Formats: sequence, C-alpha cells, structure tokens
Amino acid sequence: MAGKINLEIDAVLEKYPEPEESLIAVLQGVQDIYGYISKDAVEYITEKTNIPSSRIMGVASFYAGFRLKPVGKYRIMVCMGTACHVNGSERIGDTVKRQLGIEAGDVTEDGLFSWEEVACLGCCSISPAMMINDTAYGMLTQEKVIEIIDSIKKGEGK
Amino acid sequence: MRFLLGYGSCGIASGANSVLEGLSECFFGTEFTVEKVGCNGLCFAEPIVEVICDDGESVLYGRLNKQSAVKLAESAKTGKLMQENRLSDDELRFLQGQKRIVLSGCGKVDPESLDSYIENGGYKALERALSMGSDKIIEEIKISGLRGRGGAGFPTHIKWQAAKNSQSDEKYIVCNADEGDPGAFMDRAVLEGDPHRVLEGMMISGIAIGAHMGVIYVRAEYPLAVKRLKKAIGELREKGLLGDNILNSGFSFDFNIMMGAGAFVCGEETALLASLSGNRGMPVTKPPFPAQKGFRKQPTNINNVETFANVSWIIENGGEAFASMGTEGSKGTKVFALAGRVKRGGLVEVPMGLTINDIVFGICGGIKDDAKVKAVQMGGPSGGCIPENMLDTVIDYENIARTGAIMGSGGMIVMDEKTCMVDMAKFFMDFTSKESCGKCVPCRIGTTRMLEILERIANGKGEESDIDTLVELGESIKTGALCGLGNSAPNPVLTTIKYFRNEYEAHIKEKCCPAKKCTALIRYSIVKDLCKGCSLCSRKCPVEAISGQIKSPYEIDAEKCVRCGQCIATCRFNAIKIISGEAKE
Amino acid sequence: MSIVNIFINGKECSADTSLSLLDNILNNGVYLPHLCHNKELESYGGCGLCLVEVEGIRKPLRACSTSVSEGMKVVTSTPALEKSRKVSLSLIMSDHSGDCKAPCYMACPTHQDIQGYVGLIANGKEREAVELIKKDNPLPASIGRVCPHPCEEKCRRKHLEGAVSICALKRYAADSYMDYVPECDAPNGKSVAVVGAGPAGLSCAYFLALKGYKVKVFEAQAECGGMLRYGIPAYRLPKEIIDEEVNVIKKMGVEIACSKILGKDFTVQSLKSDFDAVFIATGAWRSAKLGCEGDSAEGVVGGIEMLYRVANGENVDLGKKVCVVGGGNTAIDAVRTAVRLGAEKVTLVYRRTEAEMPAEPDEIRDAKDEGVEFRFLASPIEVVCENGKAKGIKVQNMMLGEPDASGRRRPVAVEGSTEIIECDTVVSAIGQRVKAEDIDSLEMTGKSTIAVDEVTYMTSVEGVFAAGDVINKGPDIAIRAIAGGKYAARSIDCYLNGVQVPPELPVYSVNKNFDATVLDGTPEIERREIKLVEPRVRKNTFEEAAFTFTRDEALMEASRCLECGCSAVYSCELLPLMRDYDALSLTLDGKTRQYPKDKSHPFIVRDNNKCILCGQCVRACREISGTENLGLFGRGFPTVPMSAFGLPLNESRCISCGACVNVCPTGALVSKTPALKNPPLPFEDEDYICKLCDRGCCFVKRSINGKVVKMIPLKLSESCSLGVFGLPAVDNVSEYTTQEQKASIEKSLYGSLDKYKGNVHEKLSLEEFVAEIKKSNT
Repeated sequence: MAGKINLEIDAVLEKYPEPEESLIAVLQGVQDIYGYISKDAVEYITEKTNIPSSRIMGVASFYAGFRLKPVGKYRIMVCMGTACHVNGSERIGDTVKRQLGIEAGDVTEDGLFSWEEVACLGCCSISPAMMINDTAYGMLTQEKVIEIIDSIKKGEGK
Repeated sequence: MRFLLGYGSCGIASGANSVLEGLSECFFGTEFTVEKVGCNGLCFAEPIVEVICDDGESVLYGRLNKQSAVKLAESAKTGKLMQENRLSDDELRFLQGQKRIVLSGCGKVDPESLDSYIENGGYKALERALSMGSDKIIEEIKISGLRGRGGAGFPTHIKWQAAKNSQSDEKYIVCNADEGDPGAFMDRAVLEGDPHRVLEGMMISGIAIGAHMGVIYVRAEYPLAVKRLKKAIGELREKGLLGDNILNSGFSFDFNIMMGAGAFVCGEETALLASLSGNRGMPVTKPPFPAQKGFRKQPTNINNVETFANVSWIIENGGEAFASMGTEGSKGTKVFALAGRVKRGGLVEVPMGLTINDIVFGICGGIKDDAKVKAVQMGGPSGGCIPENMLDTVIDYENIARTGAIMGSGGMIVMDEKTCMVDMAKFFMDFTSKESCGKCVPCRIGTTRMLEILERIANGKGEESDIDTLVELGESIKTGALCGLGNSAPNPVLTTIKYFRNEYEAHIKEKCCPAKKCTALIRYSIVKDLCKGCSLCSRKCPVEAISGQIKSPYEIDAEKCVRCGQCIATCRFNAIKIISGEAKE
Repeated sequence: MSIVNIFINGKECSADTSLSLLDNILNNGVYLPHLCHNKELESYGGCGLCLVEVEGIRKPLRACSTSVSEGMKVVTSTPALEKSRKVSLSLIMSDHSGDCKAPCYMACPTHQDIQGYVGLIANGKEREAVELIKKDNPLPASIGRVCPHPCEEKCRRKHLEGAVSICALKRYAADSYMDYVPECDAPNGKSVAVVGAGPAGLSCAYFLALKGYKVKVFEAQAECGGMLRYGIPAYRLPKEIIDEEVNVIKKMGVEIACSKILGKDFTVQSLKSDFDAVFIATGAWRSAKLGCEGDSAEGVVGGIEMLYRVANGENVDLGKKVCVVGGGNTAIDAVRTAVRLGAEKVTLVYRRTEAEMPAEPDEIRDAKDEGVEFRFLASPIEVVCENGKAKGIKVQNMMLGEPDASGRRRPVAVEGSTEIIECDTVVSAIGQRVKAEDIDSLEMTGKSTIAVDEVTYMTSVEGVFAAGDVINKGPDIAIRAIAGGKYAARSIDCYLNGVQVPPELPVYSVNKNFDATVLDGTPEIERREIKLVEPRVRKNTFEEAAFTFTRDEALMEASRCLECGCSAVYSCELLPLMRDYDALSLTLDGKTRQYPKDKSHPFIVRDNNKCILCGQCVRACREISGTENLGLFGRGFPTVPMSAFGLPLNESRCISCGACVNVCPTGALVSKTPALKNPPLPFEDEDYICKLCDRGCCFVKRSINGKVVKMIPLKLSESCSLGVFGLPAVDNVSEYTTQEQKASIEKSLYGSLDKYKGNVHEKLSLEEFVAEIKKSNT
C-alpha cells in the first residue's frame, strides 16, 4: 500500500518541477487522489522535496479546501454564503445533520457521507444551495434535501 | 435559428443538463444544434434558452425542464416557437437599463470556443494594443478612469504605471479570481461565460507593463471556470496566440492557472502572492507594493477578473467612451450580483451613477412576495447594510463608502423585514473570524470577541454595554488590523449598529428579535382558531414537538421545538406563528 | 545603508535606512511598545502595537514594517494610537491563559514567593529558601505551625493527589535555619513606634527595620508574641519558637519594651510626638459572650481568656466535664487544652455540622483522636446554674435549612427539642472582640475596631497607622495580621518618604479558564502530611504535638510543586505593557485556547496557553536555526505554533539552538535547567564571552543565587545549543539528574553542532563535559 501511495504521489510531484512554489497544487493533487492529506503523504512529500513537514502542515491547515481527515464517498457541502444565509441555509445544514446523524466535518459510519459548511459556492441566485461532490443543488428546501439524500442512499442500496 | 443554452454552473445546478437532453434528443438529425453559452445573468429564470431567430430576433425561454425543452424543440421544428415559458415583458425589463461591457459576451459567446469569441470581435483589442505600445495603453486606461473592481477601487492606470516603472526583465500579471465575497458571483459568471475576455485583458496589461506571464489565481470551488480557462488557454496555444513572439509581434506571453485552496484573505494582494508562492496566505504590510516586489519577488500587476474584463472594451472603444459613462469619480459600468430577498436575482451591469433603488426595483422587480425592503447589503463581509431610506444613494465608490458600506466586488444582498440585522452582523462576523489569517491581534482576537458578543446578544444574553463595546472594538480593529480584511471586518457590525440600533436594543433589553429570526428569542405557536387539526405539521416535525387530537387544534412543545420551520412550511392554514418577546402574543 | 534625517515627535533625529522605522525610533531613545519585532528577524506586523502616524499618510503605519525616508515626520503617541494599543493589549490578554504568579502566591495574604521557596527546598537549597521566605514573612517557624494555609486551598495539585504541604515545608525550611538574620538597610534616621508585639506588630517592626528605621515596640504583656503566644496552645506552637523568631527581630535592631500599656504608660499622642510615625496592633483580646441566659455565671469562661491564662502559666481548673461552644480554631484549641488540663469529658457544641465548621479539618481530626466529643446541630439557649455556678448547658437541637449569605446551610431550630449537657465549665469560643476603649482618640468602626484606610492602613490621625485584629473587620488569621504589618510598614515608609503607596498586589495575569485536564499524565506522588505524636501521648502534655518534616520528606514533598507561576515573570515583555495600558480594565472574556505544556525537551518548556502568536519563534526557527521545525498551524483564532504533527519538541527536528526561547516575549517558550525545579526568582545578569568554542560569541549570563540559569546571545544569529544551554547544564546537573535526563541533555547539547562548527572538542558525555568546563573555569 505504502509503495502504491508513493508512486501516486511521485506522479503528482513530477508535474511540478518547483514543488516549493507549487506546494498548494501538489497538495491539491494528493487530495484529489486520496480525498484528504494524510500524515504519511506529508512525510513522503518532505522526503522527496525537502520541504519541511511543518510548512506542509502549515499550508494544509491554513486553507479550508484541504482536509486532514478522510471524507465520505458523498461529500456534501452546504453553502454558507450570504444569499444562502438570508434564504435559510442554517436549516439546510440542520437538516443534513439530522438526516446523516453526524456533525459537520465527520463521516458516517458506512463511509458513505460526510458533510461540511463551506464558503459561498457562487450559486447565490439559486440559494440556498449545496454541492454533493461536483454537483450543485439549488433552491433547496428541507424536504428537497431529505429527498436528495434518500435517493443517494437508495442508489447505494441502503 | 440558434439555440443558446445558459450553461454556467448556476444553470447546470438548475437543470440545464435535462434541458440540453430534451433539446438534443429532439434536434437529433435536424439542422438545429444547441450552443452552450455562459450565464446571461438572468439567474432568476434558470435554466434559460435564448432562441435567436434567423431574422435576428431573440426570444428568451426560462424555467425550462426536460418536458418544456422538448416542447420548445418540437415547436421550433414546426417553425412556430411556443408561447409557454417565454419570459414576460415585465421580466425582460431586467435586461433594459443595463449596459453590458464586462458581461457582453456572457450568454452570447461559446466559452469553450476561441472562434466564437473572435467572431464576436474578440482579440481585436489585443491586436490594437500591440500596435499602441505600452505608454499609449496606460494613457488610454488613465483616460478611461477605470478603477479596480475588486473592492477598494484603486485607479488601475497607477498600478500599471508603477509596475511598468519597476525595472526588471521578469514581470508578472496576476488575475485575482479568488472571488471569496459570499454573495458575489460575477467573476464566476465571466470566467465561465467569457474566459477569453479576461485573458485578453491580461495580455493587454502584459504589453503595458512589460510582463510575459499571466497567472490566474482562481478558486478551486469554481471547477467549471477552471476547466473553461484551461480550454481557452489551450486553444490560444494551439493557434499560436501564446508563447514566444506571438504572431511575429515581438510580444511573448503565456498563462498559468493556480487554484486557490479556500481562504477569503487571499483576495488581499499580498496574501494572494504568499499563496502563489506555496505558502500560507498571510498578508504582509505594504510597501513594498506588488508593483515593486510581487510574484517571485518581481514587479507584478494584480487586478481582479472584472477589471481585466473591461480592458479590451476600453482599448477598442477608447478611454473617452468608457469615461463618458458614470459619475465624476467612478467611470464606466459595474456588475452587481443581486441575491437575497429580491424578486429577480442575477447579474446586472449598469453604468455607475444609478441609484440602488434603480437596480433593486427598476431592474430586479423589487422584493420577493412584495414584502417591504429593509436594507441592501453591499460589499459583503467588508461592507455594510444600507437602510431602506438611503437606497436612493447614487452608486459610485465615494457615495457608497459614505454610507459605511463599500462598493466591494459588487454583491448586493437584498433584505426584507424577515432579515434580522443582529443575525446578519453575526453572520458576517462569523465569516470574517473564520477567514482571519490569524496574524494580527486586532483581527484574530478582535473579530472573535466581537462575534462572541453578537452571539450573546442573539441568544438574549446581551448587556446594554455590549453595543458600546462592539463599537469600541470595531473602531480599534479598523485602525489596527494589518490588511484589508481586518480593516473592513467591523463594517457590517458598525453599519447595522448605526442604522438599526433599535434592533440591537430590542434583543438586549426586551429579549426580542423583531425579525423573528434569532432562534433563542423566538418560539413557535399554533393559532387555535386557524388550526384545523389536520396533523400534517405533527407528522413533519423532526423532533416530535407537535401533538394533539385529529380535528382539534394541535400544540407545540416549546422545550422540544428546534424552530426548524418545517411545520410552517407544511401548514396549509397559516396557523403557525412565530412569537418573539413577551408582550407580543 | 545611508543616513537620513527624520522627525520623531517633532524632534529631528538621524535614521539608518537599512533599519525599520521602529528600530530607528528605539535607537533614538523613544519608547514604542512592540511585541512581535526582532531586528534580526523579518518584520511581521502581528501585534499591532508599534502603530505610528506618519505625516501625509492617512492610516497609522506599523513602524516595524515601515522603512524610513528623508524628512519623514513621525508621531508615536496620540490619543487614538494609545487607545488602539490598549484595545490590542486587552485583546491579547483575553487570549493569554497564564498565571504570572502561582495561585498559592495570589492566595496568601502576604503574597510570599511560595513557588520560589518550595522550588529551592526541592533543589535542596534550604538556606536560600529561608532567605527568600524571610523577604516576606518574619515569623515562618511560627506561622509554619499554625497557619490555616489559604495557599494550599488554591494549590493546583489539589486536582491530583492533594495540595502540596506548603505550610509544613515552610516550617521545615524555617526550622533548618532559625538563626538566619536578614541584612538591614543602613539606618535612615527615622523612628517608628509599634504598639503590640503580636504578629502584626512584629511584622511591621521587622519590615521597618529592614528598611533602616529605628523601631521601638511596646508590649502590654510580659512577653512577646501576642495571640501567637497567648491564644495558641504550646502543643501547637512552643513558646521557644516565638522567642527565637523574636530574637532575630531584636538582632535586627528592634527594641522591644514589654509590660508597657497603652493609655497607662503612654498614649498615642505621646508616641506621636516622640516618633516619626506610630503603628498600632493591639489585637482582639476579648471573647464574645454566649448571649444566653446564665452566660455570666461562675464557671462560664471565654475561650481566649482561658487559653491566655493557661499560656500565662496560671493554674486553671476547669473541672471534670468541660463544654466548649463554637466551631472555630479557638474552640478546637480550647477543647484540646481542656483535655491536656485533665478534664475527663470534653464536649464541643456546635450549631451546624462538621462540614460547616470553620476550624481546620486536621485540627478537628486531632481533637477527635484525643477523645473530644462533638455535639453538632446544638445551639446553647441557657447556661444551667446551681447556686450561681454553671452545672450544664441547655441546647436547642437544630437542623440545616437553606444556605445563607455565606453559602453554608443555615441551622434552624427543631421545635421543642432541647437537651441539657452536664458540665463544670462552659467555654465560650464563638468569636473575639476588640478591647479598644483605650484608643478612643482614633476613629472607630461600628464593630469598635480602629477604622483605617484599606490601602494605606492609616487611621483617622495622620502618621498613625494600624493593622491586625484591631482594625476594620476585626479578628482574622495570623498570616493576615502579618500581611497587615508588612503592608502597613511599606505604607509608613511611603508616608515618611512622601511617595504614593503602591497596591498590595500588582496586577498579574490569572488563568481564569484553567482546565485540570492539562495536568493529565503528571506522575503520581502522594501528599506527605506532617507526622504527629500519638494521641495517647500528646493528650497528656503541652509538648509540641507535630514533627517537622525530615529532609527526605521535605524534598520529596517539595518536588510535587507543579510550578504554576510563570518562569518568565521577571523578563516578560507583555506584563509591564499590560499594566501600563491597564489592559485588564476592558474585559473581553471569551473562549481561550487551552493546551497541555510540552516539557519533553531538557532545556525548553513550551506553554502555548501563553502564546500571543507574535510569530517570533516560528521566524527564528526558520531564519536563525534553518530547521523550520516550528510552524504555524491552523488559521485565525485557533492558530498555534508547533512542530509538524504536534510532535513533542524532543521528538521533533528541533536542534536545540535556543533561538526560540530567546525571542519569546512571554512565557510561552522558556528555557529551563536540569535542576529539579526552576523557580522564577530575581536574577543577576553579566556580560560573558562564550569559551565553548573559538568563535567567542557574546552572551548575557543570567544567574540566580550564583547558578547560571539562562544564556542570552547578544546576536540572535549566534544562538547555538552549547552556548545557550551549556553553562546552565553544567551549573544545574545534580545527583537527582536521572540517566534518562542525562542522555537527553547530551543529545540536546550537541543538537546544533552541525550548524555552528566552531572549534568544538568532540562530543563529550555529560560528566566529561561538566568536568571539562569546571576545569577550564578554575
């Protein structure tokens, strides 16, 4: 497994001849593969690039886009932008939380879902909005959220 | 007949893909094709298809789904376009009164086609700029009066001149596309709908300052924008419009895209530069300015998406033409993103000098459900709430600043009586405290403490001295914070205190939320006379807080109730009321 | 570099363009607050304190990140700038969770440096401990026997196995060096009269003598000590102990005249004319009456009066059955004295339950062990008499009701339930009153105590001061009387020198949100109690009933100290700024960050609770050490500096160059020595050229009691493990240093060797290293 991880990270690093300057892109690449930035990955990047782990962790922990914990197969991002807030995004978040039974940032036991509150998705005109992986959902109501989550569960045979 | 489908991420989220399916299936084997274009700004009516008839007449269809799309396609095949789903004349007023420069290609050109951009007049300005040379370009920008559209409104030509004056063989153009202001989405729309316009602006800026590399720092949350930018850059390269000695002009230029990783503070130039170098996005004090020492420690010109998107128009039409629009100090047009409780939300580009009322009521049709407008928030977390009685403020940088808000990137969130101002202040403070980079004391701890006080007030535990403490902290943070994020972070609180102090006082003294929003200060109650005992709300309640006998009035257990609002949404008899404060039963 | 002229606050100064505006301002002798700047590190701009106004620029600038230019006009202080600084400091303080001084220090009325002397005892430095104790307490051997020790109440070790036995440790130290006489200042030619040789009077005399005053004490009794002698039985505090401590005070030049009575032999007025100032500490010598029928009958005595007569050597016969009413320490002293006087049945009557008794639990336990009966929930309603002589006490049975103002549950009568307890003597020990009719020229309180100013201890008559049981609220514990004497002496000194009296306790940062879970993982060491003479032996004698700790006991007990007080308290840069700007007056309480301390490194302690995120350690670790081991993690409020993955320092890539501890402006990163305890004590600095290699780097050598505790390189860039930690290691390695510690010290000492290749001899073992240094020093 470790060997495989290293090969995959090598592939990411190969794309960036100047890994110091491209650290964020490197980390994005690593996260695209594993869904999050693991300690092993950081240590491996340090080994290969000599970038101190403290700096890598400093960068990874600074940006909201990096995750230091695994995420669910379906990553639900509830938009907390202004327009969404004015149109009741808090309730959307509450509903997701109730439906999944987990706090923001956590993963359901079956590994299927994780959810988080995120900064504006730029879908203000269809607020309140959320994204599940790369798909945006707008004009949400609590009922609609329940339907969406249920349909994913059904699709996964749960 | 051409069919232009709004295919921005908002359109897609609203169902543009089903519309595309519907149209494509019907058009299969016919002469008709669907062109995917960017968002034309009529977000309220997504998904949208604009049909351009052979005689040039344009018909807009909105709120389509697969069935209506099929119907539309069928009607097109008969040569007689259907009447259903056409936008009404009233709705079309949205487009009147707008003057589109930045958005001129959005919804018109195919963002994934260089040819489409060129067909619509693209890259003519670049050609012209190449012949003008650096000084003339900057002079033209100076004449135009263009100011930075990212927020602070700094005159663009001064930045360009400074970067040009800095001696170095290596200079950079950076496009700030890290649109982090919650409630603003014009940059996304432009990048998704007309990416070449931005690239062209950057290249012209490159000629002006002597840079050969443009870096676009774009939010990772905008995957479609990234994809289309990459495609656009790829096509330019293919056609030899990038690289060394472009078209034998002697000018060399190339682009690089860097995805932001989620930090609002990176909208601040110096933080953005730190991020570009692979570091934590923490701002540093200026000087040195980026024009002296920026990306890779070289002279760098940073502008935002909308600023660059204005450039080609100015070069093509002349600075005078641009300057003929707008007010004394603020020239040209500005794109506003309308959202919130407004009837027709979307993107509006108007000449500077209109009033807020002109936009909210004239173009956007007023307030949802014809409610009463309470305030318009401008400038997002750095801006402020402008109250109803000041909505006749003429829009330009200085006038907006006088209200305590800022022009910002152009987000306008419209609020009605259901919006609680303490809650809004809390919302923005929550945002800025989470987005604070943590470097300077006033911002890192100050915003946290202000948020805690606001939370206390919203929870009914505020004290009378809290308002003064908020003002004191707010003023000190404005003076003492290191960067623009911190300097402006108190604005939403200070403006709401300035204009809506009574709401704060109601929360503190009467423990009442007049907008009935702050959950700790409200409770739900069933009006006995109106309740028919249908039990629907009881079944919907997620926490089993509603009980009763069928056909007699139900009751809500205030202890159990989490104030989620599902019951209100379900009740067909309008029998559930929200109560806040003691006396107002 | 070039030199330009700038104007600082209107004054023309020359400035070096290669330095920041802040450094130029400081170089020109103008003070400008700053907490995140170091001229050897990249500028940061975090703290926001060095804001200045520059002519022509609308917004204030951070001087640390501003460069100078010819003709620049700078203003460093305006009301707006000061306001902004104050708010910034208030914000910093609101997230600075640290105790400048340990909670025990804060709790003790005399504010003794408990952490200091406990630490010295732990390190086996009893002599230094006594010297330190005697800076704040003239009677440690006495107090070490009788104090109810409010300090131990606040001891953080209470969250673990139990408080450190602070009081017993003080007794141990004091007993070890009873003959220590502190050095006094040269005579200043001024004289003060002290009335009363009790704890307050002796304390005042002692502290005035230290300051060079000529002091004469007038004592009404035949012997010194006041309530310590006459109110506390000899089995708790032998009279010889008092005598020895008084002797030291006499050796310091204090004259004591016994059997001199105020109002008879002299008056306040006569003293006032004979001395420059007068201090009155006549105490509270009268027991409160029971306030019930028969309370004046024969056979009813006051607790204080009874103890006095016993102490005075009078023959006291209480009969066979004795009933003592009351729940305080005097009541316990009375019952235990009665036992020793031969009473067969001694009963203590108290109207509440044991839990509410103000007496010390240990004392209650000891009394029980000596056979005293306790009758709780009984309130006397009548002294039953026969022929005018008490033969019993009738009590009303009580039960506990709702809590009263003191938080204790109020006793309420059980209707109709009374009882008679037979006895020969009833002792009333329900409180003391002041006997103050002789000092009527002074303004009195409603409690007939002398009214004095809370801050200055001055009475209504100028130049006349008072403290102890005789003032304001009346009787209290002995240590409070000593504190009164101490602070009154300071006030008298201020008065006679015409300066303002400083507050008793300067403002310190207190960790209000202390979370005991940060103590998790502390190795367990049981609290050592002082050993007692067996009850069956001690109940028959007035010989002392408790033993002083042995050395082993004391050192082990002292080693339990958690060292809560900040070791940077004397060098902290935040503390004086916090005081100057009165930063705690703007209360901005809210969430704080809470972290356990990292004590893994042999020379560095990291306490991120005190971190103000100035970023200096992170910059030093990157720019000076080059390891970039420390980094900033997270964003916004929760940002924290640490090694990657939060590794403890000794497991991280730290090369022990010591740069971080030398830049930290607070106590978030501090150096320590291999000594068992590192008590923060006033230090001495001297210039020193390091001889550990041939580079000859310049240091400030910081020593406490002659031992090097810290090496501060004059140039941050010259920080290296040997230079910074070498001498402190040599001076503080002891027989207590474990093998494990030694290995860790060796590793750290040579940590930055690769970076600083001076002509260093090969790596030595710690023993060889110590021997080598000691050899080269002689």
